[in-house]
Amino acid sequence: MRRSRFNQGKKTYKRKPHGRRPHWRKPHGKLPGGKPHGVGRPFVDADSDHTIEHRIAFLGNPNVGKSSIFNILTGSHQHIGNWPGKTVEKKEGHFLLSDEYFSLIDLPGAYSLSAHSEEELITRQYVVEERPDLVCAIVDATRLERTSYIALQALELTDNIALIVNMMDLAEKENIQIDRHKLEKQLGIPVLLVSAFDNNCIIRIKKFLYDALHTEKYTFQPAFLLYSQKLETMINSVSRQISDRTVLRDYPTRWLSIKVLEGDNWVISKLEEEYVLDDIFKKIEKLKKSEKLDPADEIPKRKYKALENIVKKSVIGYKDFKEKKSDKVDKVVMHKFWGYPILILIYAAFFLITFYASGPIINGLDYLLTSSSEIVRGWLLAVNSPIFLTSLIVDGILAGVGAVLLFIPIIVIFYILIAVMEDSGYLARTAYLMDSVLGKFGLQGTAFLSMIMGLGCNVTGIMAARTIKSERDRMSMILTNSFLPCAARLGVIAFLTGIFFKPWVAALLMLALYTLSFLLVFLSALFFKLFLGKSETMPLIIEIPEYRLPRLKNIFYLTWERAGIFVKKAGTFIFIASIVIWFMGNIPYGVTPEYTIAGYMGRGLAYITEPLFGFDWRMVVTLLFGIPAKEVVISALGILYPGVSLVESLLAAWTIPQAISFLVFQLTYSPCFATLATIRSETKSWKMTAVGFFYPLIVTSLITVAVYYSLLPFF
Amino acid sequence: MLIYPNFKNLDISKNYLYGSSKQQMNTMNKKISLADSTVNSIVKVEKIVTGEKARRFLADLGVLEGVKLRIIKNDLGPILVEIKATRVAIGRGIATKIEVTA
Repeated sequence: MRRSRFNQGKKTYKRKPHGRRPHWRKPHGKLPGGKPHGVGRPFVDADSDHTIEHRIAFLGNPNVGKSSIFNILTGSHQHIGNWPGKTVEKKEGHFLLSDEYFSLIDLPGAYSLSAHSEEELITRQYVVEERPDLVCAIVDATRLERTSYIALQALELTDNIALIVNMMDLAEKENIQIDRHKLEKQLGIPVLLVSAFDNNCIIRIKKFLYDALHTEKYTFQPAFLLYSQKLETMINSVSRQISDRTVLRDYPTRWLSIKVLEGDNWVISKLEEEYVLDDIFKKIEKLKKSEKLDPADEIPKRKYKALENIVKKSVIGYKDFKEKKSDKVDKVVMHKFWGYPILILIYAAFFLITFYASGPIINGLDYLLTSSSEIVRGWLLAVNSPIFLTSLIVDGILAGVGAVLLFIPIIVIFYILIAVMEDSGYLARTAYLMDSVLGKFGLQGTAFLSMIMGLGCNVTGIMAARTIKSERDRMSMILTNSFLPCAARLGVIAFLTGIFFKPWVAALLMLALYTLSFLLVFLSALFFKLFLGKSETMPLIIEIPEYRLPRLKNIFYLTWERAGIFVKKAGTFIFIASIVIWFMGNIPYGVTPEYTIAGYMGRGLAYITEPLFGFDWRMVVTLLFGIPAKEVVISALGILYPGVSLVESLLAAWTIPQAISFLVFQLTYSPCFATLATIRSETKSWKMTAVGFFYPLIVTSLITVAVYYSLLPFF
Repeated sequence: MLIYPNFKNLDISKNYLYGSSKQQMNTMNKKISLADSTVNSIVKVEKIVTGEKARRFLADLGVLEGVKLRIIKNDLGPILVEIKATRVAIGRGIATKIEVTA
């Protein structure tokens, strides 16, 4: 601090290096002890055991190891939910260090902080409006220039920002050396170089976060990015106009001006509540015409230019356009011809492993469940409980729990394998390869991921549709996902084809059924294209990550997340549905199934279904029971076709056309309740949910009639 | 005595032989679309004439005018390019709207 003769004795404040008006920044808080607290606002929570809570937000591109770092720091202390009112995942977690509570939030992966997607909007709103004590931008050391773009944008938004350069191990292999001090000096923020898979990285990151929040070791004076002179004039003139605004007070004025020049719709619409910005737009138009300078292009260009300079000064050994190992592998794996057989092989192996590995576990579980329910039945009989109650507990509740439990192994193994593919980088390549195939049906390659996930459970399939950029494609994938036979329906298909046909015919039939359901998805996509109209088409632009050895921890958390969704959502629905079904199938109690509620309903509906699809009342009841949860179809068959064994009684009761027509109908008819609930939560529209229920039902009915009547003459 | 050309009266439609004027440079490096570029070549993005949304998204990924790309794969389906050590697949439809020079 320089004191001249004129202000001696007066208190002088050091001017912030970039002259930012501090009006939007609230004063820093103090610790209860009255000590200044370094950076950020300490947050005293009366309910918490720990008086000091730090909120740290992680920010970064996809594929930079952001989630890996989040996972190793928080371990099992994490919570996954949704951002309120949004269909974007919110990951929170915490760790404790020296009795202080560090709560971490993993902001959704984004390439920038513009408002193109919900993820980006959420990210910047969180950074500004929630004011985390520290924002950690995570970047990839091997691609420092490309991945730091979002960090540079965040620098304009907040002062409390630190940079974590991840994947230093890979950078070392490529002989890239990064000078941390130079990087720190140029950016004006703390920088840490780590590799998320080093043994000591956890403690290093924790210490870094602790030091950044507590000590004076690091300086927080984010670099001030200057644009070209013309742009600066524009920025200043906008800033002057909006400096006394009442909306968006939390946001820095300069950042808002830049966003106005960039044409950020969200910012502009908010500011237009208060100001008439037409003057500014006229000026921008003039600039575009006379100077051939579009601010929307110029601003990112300048940012990249700045990054280029930073990287040039602080990184040694980085070479542009170096062929990597991944490229060599991709020459085969993504070949225009060989890529497809490899893809089919990988997915075939994927499904075989899922079913062969889960088979014994399911059998074992089944045995355990039946024997334990027998024990419970015996025990209930011994205490003289009423038969009605015994049946409700054993055949209703225990059978319901069993139905949920039996599907967990298959779902878990399915999602472990998906996670392996995702973490190794093959899943993005699948989207790439399938893009030219799906493009013919007007779908994007990313839709394939949602379809594959849907083969495990439609609920996760629909949730995976979030990655689809185009709103129309996304809607069409959500509505048609239930055409894809999930693991539950696969169980029914495998069981019934196994009974009625020789193994090779059964395999062919299964293949035909799968082809049918994929065809339905594709054709529906074309069909929906007519109805949902020409919404803005977002063309395919995806990043293809490098191949990596899948890491156990990542796989564990990815699986945990997705299988968790299944267990939570599907679990509750299957459980409730099983109890409802028990009531419908057993009331009035003690009569034959024909005269229960379900029996009456089935016999009523059979007047329609018998001539159309060849379904008798028992098949109708089974399918009715299958509407809430497909898992109960086989157990419903078991109840409705009493006999020595289900196989024998089914063989005696059904003709071949009936069996095939049943298979086709149950393959694609209305989605289960858990899926419907997901459609509702993802589309936020009851109309779409109704479409999601009735559209498959109508389509399936038409197809089943066609199949049944074309088969009848042959048998 | 040296005779300098009168730059004011130059007819840009004619092919002059004085060094490399801007006109000639353009005819030398012909603009092609990204979809027509050859594999393994390094190209420079000249112009992006896509819709606003795609343009912004490309800008976020670093595909801007004046940036160099390496074409990794360009046969069927999306075009795979390398930009600043990142591999990005760009749909064929949008690639035809990106002009590059070799």
